[in-house]
Amino acid sequence: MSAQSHTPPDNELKLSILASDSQYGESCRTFVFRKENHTLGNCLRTMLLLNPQVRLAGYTMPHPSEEVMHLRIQTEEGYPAQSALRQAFVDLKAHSLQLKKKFESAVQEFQSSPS
Amino acid sequence: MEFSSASVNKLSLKEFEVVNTSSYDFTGHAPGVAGNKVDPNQYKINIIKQEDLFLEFDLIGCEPSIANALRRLILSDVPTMAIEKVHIYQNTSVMQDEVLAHRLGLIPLKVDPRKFKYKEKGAPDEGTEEDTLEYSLKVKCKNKQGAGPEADSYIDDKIYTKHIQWIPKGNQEVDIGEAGPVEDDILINKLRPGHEMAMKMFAVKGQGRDHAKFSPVATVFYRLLPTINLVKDVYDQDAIRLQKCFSPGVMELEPTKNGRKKAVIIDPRDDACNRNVYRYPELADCVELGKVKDHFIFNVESTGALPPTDLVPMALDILIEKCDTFLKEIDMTNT
Repeated sequence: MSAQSHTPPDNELKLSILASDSQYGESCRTFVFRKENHTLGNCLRTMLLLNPQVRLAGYTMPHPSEEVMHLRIQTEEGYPAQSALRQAFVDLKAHSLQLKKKFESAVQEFQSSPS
Repeated sequence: MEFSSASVNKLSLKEFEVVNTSSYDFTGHAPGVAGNKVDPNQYKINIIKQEDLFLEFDLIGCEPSIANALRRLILSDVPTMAIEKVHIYQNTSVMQDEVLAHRLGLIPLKVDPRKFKYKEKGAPDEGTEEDTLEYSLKVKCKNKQGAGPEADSYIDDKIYTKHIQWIPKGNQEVDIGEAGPVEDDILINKLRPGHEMAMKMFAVKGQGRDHAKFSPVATVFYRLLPTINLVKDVYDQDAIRLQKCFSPGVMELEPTKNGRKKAVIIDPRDDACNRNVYRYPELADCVELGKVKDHFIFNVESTGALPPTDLVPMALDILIEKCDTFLKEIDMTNT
């Protein structure tokens, strides 16, 4: 399997922040994702809710005509929302890698078993 | 709130409602679970059935959002090759040009999309050997020599996918081998003597989210594993009625020592979960119906371009790629 990307190349940044929140400090943020939807949003939300330092996590798509997703994170004092987001991505990647490994070994096992 | 470990995992199918469905939509429900390390025993995957185009597997221990993400990714983000541009030189058939072109786009092509690159916007239709496949369709319908006006007196009156010819570009013949349609007998058009079709088709790599023709699966779906719990013993006539409430093979009647027949659950996996039991109030309180919340039974049916056992890892690769892209962006803004 080549290391080539499966998705079409995209030169612009996909992640930005909703400007209104910076006055409340580092622990409240709404992140704006371009060209993302429930596929990523719900997974991130799940990973964030498993993080004990996250107080609130939710996502929404403001309008179906635009492929934009907003992810709201509120954390404990002293733990920046951006760190929570980063941790959620790290966790999601770890879970996906684990799933991929399990799936491939399950296929191997099924194909090599005589039945 | 106290939950027993048995009920935490199961949702209950009652007569008019489904209860205990929520999967932890609040924070702090699983303290200390987050972290870089994933418990290696958290996920279990069992392949149940694997054929040419069809795959059934069990995914146990997974969060519903990740199972759904897997389903959505296979459906809309795993790429395939499909005909996108059709240059029609001649079409005197009854089917309009655009309808014909639409049908050609929907034909599944037996090509591995990983060997190709995405075509750039604004690139010419003919493309390069790295991002385009070229096909040709040239047919003319004639009368059979000396035949009467019966139905099978035409030559080339039904146009199938076998009439489509692949025109390899550059090194494609060596690198790719075969690049025809998955099936030879898909009917494209019907002609009568004198009708002619001559066209060139160009196939590119695309994703299902752009157009459904690029989706690599006929469909992919999952369901939860049903559970049936017999609370009371059921015998004879009641047992026969109870057995009929479930799908065949779920419940059987076993003879007991007294000569009566007792209802016994064999395998709730095949149950269609239609909750038929609730039509009979006297039987309704003998069983408890439910579903296991983290046991997903996946069905993947490929259209033929890629084997289904390749689709699942590709979908997970795309998810991992998304994580990498965003981690890079986050780290870029930090430094």
